[in-house]
Amino acid sequence: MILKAIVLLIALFALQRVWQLSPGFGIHSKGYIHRPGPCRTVKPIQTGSEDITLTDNGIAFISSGLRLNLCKQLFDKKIQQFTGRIYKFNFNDPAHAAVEVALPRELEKDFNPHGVSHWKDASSDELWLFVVNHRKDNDNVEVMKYNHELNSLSLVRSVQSTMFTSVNDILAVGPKSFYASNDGYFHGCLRSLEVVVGLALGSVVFFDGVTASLVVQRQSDLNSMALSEDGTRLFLTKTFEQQINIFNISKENGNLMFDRAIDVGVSIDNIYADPVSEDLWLGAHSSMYLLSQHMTNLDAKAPSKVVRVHPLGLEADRFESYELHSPFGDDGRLISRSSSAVYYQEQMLVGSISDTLVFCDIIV
Amino acid sequence: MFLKTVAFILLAFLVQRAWKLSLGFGTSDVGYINRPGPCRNVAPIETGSEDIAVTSNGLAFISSGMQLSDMCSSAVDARFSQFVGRIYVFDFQNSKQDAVEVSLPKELQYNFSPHGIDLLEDSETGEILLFVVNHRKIGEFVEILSYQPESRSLSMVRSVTHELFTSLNDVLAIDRNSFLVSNDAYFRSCWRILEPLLGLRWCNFIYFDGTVGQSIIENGHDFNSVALSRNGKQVYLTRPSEMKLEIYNRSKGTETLKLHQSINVGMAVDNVFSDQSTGDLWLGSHPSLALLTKHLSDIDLRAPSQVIRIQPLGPQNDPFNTYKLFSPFGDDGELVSGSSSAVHFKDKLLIGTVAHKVAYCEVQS
Repeated sequence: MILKAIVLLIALFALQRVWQLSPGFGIHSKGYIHRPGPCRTVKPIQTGSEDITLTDNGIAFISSGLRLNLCKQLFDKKIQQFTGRIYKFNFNDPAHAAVEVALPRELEKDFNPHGVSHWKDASSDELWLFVVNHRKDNDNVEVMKYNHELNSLSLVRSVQSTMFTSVNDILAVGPKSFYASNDGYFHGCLRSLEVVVGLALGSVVFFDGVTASLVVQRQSDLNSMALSEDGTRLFLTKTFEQQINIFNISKENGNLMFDRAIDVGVSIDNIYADPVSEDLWLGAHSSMYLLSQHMTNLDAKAPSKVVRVHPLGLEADRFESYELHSPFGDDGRLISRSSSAVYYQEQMLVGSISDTLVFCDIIV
Repeated sequence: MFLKTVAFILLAFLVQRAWKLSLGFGTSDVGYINRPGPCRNVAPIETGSEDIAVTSNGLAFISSGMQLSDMCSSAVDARFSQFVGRIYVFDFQNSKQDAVEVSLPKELQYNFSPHGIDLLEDSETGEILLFVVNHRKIGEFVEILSYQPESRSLSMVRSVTHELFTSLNDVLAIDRNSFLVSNDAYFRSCWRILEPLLGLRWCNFIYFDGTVGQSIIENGHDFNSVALSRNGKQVYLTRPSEMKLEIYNRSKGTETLKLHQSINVGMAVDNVFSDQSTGDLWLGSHPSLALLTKHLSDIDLRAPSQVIRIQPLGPQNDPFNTYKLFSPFGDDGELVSGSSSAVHFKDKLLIGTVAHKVAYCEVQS
């Protein structure tokens, strides 16, 4: 009798999880092709362009060669051969290929980059690059200084913290301070269990330059972050839940107060906030099912999609109402598993987890 | 024990039906806005543009004002009974002009609830014959009408009804007297809701040869729109709830159809247009049948719209052996709600809806 009850409870729980996960899983979703204008891949990137950070004068820094430390046994072995790199792309000279940026010597042999962000000093034009690095032992946040003439990065500081459980993205809010999002707790194959069961082990850490503190706790499915143009709000994506959570930032201590959630209707990855239009640009996966198939075999294409959230609300509450646009879609043949998108002066870059980088002119 | 078994079987059946229905129902689907170029509405159409047929010169005939109230009035917005059935004509070659209403033959005034539409052009005389599915009060009809361009009017050639016409949706003209026509349900009343719920297969697809009507596909459900391939050798049929476009090999003369291929389009597809110049198939589609249903029960509620283009990449004798799926147009329902049809003419697009407006787009990307 008790056994029957337990079996029934487990079955009901499993059914509920399947129901909750299924819209995000997109078993029947197709990757429809549509373009905002002429699009092409950017040489020489072929092993991923997971995240992109864009300066206000149109220079994009792209993290490439991510080797996700999830269930490696399930993934295509080719991913383990990837080399971690940072590339630079100039929107002001888009015909030029992306250029590899020289890494600091300390990181040359231990670089597995994920989320990227930057901080630019308004007066001196100094530029710092913040990169989530899945080092062999820990997840670190590498704070690096960019040298324009030499096109190289020098390590300023490598930040470690016990609060960094599984860092996904980084958001710089000063030359030394940042937010880091933990997309979960477990590494390796245990992560699949974490997702399937829906354990809320993700968090957001605020590092003020000296100490780290947890500003969002006990959340699942956290992914990427962006900052509003005026610096008062933080946007946080939740992938399977297909949502952007908007937080107000406390000036005194960097704490985050939840404001509202926007339902985007597709599994979203990285987010970019356009400072000019306030639009939010997202790399998205119209089928997590096909995404997981692509991870086990890189030759199996997975669809890509870019979503643009255009705010319609008043200044006090910009995303109280909004429009959802989709300027780019692909069946995976041009780009598989789009994870990020940035916009600059009627041009767009689309990044992917393990595939190419795409540049589009926007004519529509 | 017996009761438990029955309850269990019923539960298993319901779960399976819920699963099958949910896939097509699109409960979490959003209408993303994307355009192939500048788009705008075409005046004065506001009460539907369910289906569109185009001549080789770019003259588009649009069926408008389908009443739907004969199809379970309690489930649809009461305003449908006020809709007036019309045919509009829009000229792609003079796209700045509004759509113009075409006058109907006297027999059809106050007796016109048009649905699917097709046309035949006589290459010698230039005559345009329109075939229109009409949900008359007394039954399901296919009206064959001749277009008089000087007076912008339609004259009645022939009115066809048949006991096999249970709930007509779309028509495919074969010649002056014969056509293929689809039934999208068995019941025309509220009982029709049972058909998808229980998975009943009581629909058929009919060939009318001018004298006799016969089922050429039986025991189906949800046959929606029909179109012909460029070479006349294949018939395309849409199945909205299964999100499929089916391709049948056709034997001319006997009009026997044999299922050749099924393309899963990933969305509830409505009307199909076969582009004679490229061989592409253009589909008006519904990202969310759930939101479409709500829109039909309250016209003010917006339903997302999407246009899908299937580009054939296979050899001449099997063009859709490989293909690509494009989605050149998407809307959240503000410009057009519930897109049911899309036709393409020389880099321009016309998008029709079940109960809303029409959109005209230039295709630049």
